[in-house]
Amino acid sequence: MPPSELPRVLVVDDQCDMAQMIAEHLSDRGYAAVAESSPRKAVEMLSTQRFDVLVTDLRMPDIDGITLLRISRELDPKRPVIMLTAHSTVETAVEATGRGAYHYLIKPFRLDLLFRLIEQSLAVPR
Amino acid sequence: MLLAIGAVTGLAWWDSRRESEAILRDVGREESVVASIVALDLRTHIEAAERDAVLLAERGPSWGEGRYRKTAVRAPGSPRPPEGDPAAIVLSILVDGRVIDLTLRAADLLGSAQPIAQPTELRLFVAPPNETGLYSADSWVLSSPPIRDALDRNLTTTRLSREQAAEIGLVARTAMAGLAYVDTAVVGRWGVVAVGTAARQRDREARAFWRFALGVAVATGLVLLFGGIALRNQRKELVAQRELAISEVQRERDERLAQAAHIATMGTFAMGVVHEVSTPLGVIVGRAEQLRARAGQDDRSVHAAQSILTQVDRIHDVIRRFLDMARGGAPSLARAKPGDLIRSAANAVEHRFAKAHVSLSTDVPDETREVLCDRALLEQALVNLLLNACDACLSGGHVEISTRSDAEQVAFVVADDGVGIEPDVATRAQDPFFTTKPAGTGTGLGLAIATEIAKSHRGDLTITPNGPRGTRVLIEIPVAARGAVHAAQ
Repeated sequence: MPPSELPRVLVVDDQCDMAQMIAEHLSDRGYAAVAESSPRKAVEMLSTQRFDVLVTDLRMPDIDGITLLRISRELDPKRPVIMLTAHSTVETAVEATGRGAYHYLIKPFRLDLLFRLIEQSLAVPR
Repeated sequence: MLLAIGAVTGLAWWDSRRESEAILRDVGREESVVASIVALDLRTHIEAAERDAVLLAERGPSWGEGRYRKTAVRAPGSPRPPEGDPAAIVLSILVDGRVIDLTLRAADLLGSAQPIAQPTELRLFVAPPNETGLYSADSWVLSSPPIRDALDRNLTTTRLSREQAAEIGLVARTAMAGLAYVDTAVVGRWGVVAVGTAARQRDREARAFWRFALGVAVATGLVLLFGGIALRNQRKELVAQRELAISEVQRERDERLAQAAHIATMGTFAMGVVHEVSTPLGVIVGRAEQLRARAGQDDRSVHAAQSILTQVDRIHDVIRRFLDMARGGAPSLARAKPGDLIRSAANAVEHRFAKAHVSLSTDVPDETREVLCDRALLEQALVNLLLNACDACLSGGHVEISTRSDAEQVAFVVADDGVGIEPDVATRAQDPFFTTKPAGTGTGLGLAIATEIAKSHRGDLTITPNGPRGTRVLIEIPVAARGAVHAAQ
C-alpha cells in the first residue's frame, strides 16, 4: 500500500520515549504513525493534517487528553480517539469514553492490545 | 374547677370551725381550773374573815382596823349601814348574837390571784352570795346575765358571745367562763369566775406557728444553702466532666482527622507515584516487546525480554495493590508460610546482592507459624528491606533474613553488618522520601512503603542498631488464626 494510503495515527504523550516507542511499533505494523510530545503542536497537526486515529495520553501539562479529545471531535467527530491512562486516573478515562473516546488502555499495557483497538476502530465505517 | 375550689374552701372552713370549737373547749377547761384554784384562795380569805369576826366580837371593832376597809357591829335584823363604795363587799358574820360587818373589796379577796388576770384577755370575778353583780379585782362591778345564769345553775363553764365578752371588759371575741364555788356555813355560797377568750390560745398557737415556721424557714434555708453549694459543686464537676469528655472527643476526632489526612496524603502520594511510574513501565514493556520480536531464534534474548515483561507485570501488580491499600482498602489476605515469602524475596534481590558482593543468608525455623497476608505486598516489603540492607553494606558485607514466632506474632528480621544508623536517622527513616543515599540513588520510599504494608497487616516495623555495627529491621505481623483461610476484602 502506498504510504499515502496507509492509515495515519497520531500518538501524543508528553513522555517522548513513550510516544516514540508506540509510533515505532505502529510503523512496524504498517501504520503511518507520527509521535508528538507537545499537546499544543498536536492540536495544530490535527487542524492541518489528516489523521485516521488519535492515541493520546490523558494527563499532560498545558492541554490534557480530555481537551485534546474535545478538539479532535470538533475537527472530525468520526475520528476514533484512544486514551492512555495510568491506573490512578481510570475514572477519568471512563469519563472520557462517555465524552466520545473510542476506548482506553491502562499503562503499562501490551502493545498488541493497542493494535487490536486501532484495527477495530478503523473497521467502523466513517 | 369552681366546684373543687368551693369544696376545698368549705372543707377548710369546716375544719377551721371544728378547730375553734376545740380551742374554746380547752379554754373553758383551763378557765375552770383557774377558777378552782382561785376559789381555794378565796376560801382561805373567807375562813380568815370568819375568825377575825369572832375576835372582833371579843375585842371590839377597833381590833379590825387596818385589816378591813371598814368594820361595824350591829344587832341581828338591823339594817346594814349604807355603803358608799359600790365596789365594796360586806361580809356579815353572826357571832354571839351580834352581826359583824367586815367591808373589803374583791381585790382583797383575790389578791394572790391578781397576777393571773390579764386585761382584755383573762378576768377574775367574785360573786358574793345574795348579790347579782360580779366584783372584779380592779374594783368594777359588772353584770353578766349568762354568768349569773351559770352560777345559779352551778355550772363549771359557760360560753360568752363576743358582745357579752365585751360587756365584761374583754376583747370582742367569743369567751369561755370557768366557774368554781366556795360554800361556807357562815357566809353562804360564793362564786369565783375566770373568763378568758381563745385569743390567748390563738396567740400562743400563732407564736408556736411562727416559731415553727421560722424553724422550718431556717432549716429550709440551711438545706437550700447547703443544697445550693452541693449543686454548684456538682454542676462544676459535671461541667468539668463534660469539658473532659468534649476534649476527649475532640482529641479522638483530631486523631481520626490526622489519620484520615495521613491516609489521604498517602493516597495522593500513592496516586502520584503510580502515575509517574506507569509511563516508564509502559516504555519498558514496549521496548521489551520490540526486543522479543527482534530476538528471532536467539533463545537467551527471547528469554531475557520475556523476563523483563514478567517483572513489569509484577511491578504493576504491586503498584495496583499498593494504590488500593493507600486508598484505604484492606490487603487481600491468604495464609502463607514465612519461609516461602522469604525465599521469594531473596530470589528477587539475588542479582543485586551478587553485583554488590554482599552475601545473603536465610534462617527460617520449621516451627515458624503461618501468617495471614497479601503475599505480593509482604514480599515487596521484604524486598525493600533487603535492598536497603544491601545498599548499607560494604563489599564483602553480610545480610541475614530470618523469622521467629510466638503464639501471637511472626517477626521477619533483616539484619546487616553495614554502616549502621544513627538514632535520629532511625526515627525519620520511615518517612516518605527520606533517604541518606546519594542523590539519584534512592527514592526514600522503600522503608515508607514497607512500613505502610506492615501497618496494613495490623503489624509494625521497627528499626534498631544491630550490635556494634549494622542495622536490624523488624516487621511483626499477627499469626494466622486456625481456620482462617482467606479474609474478604
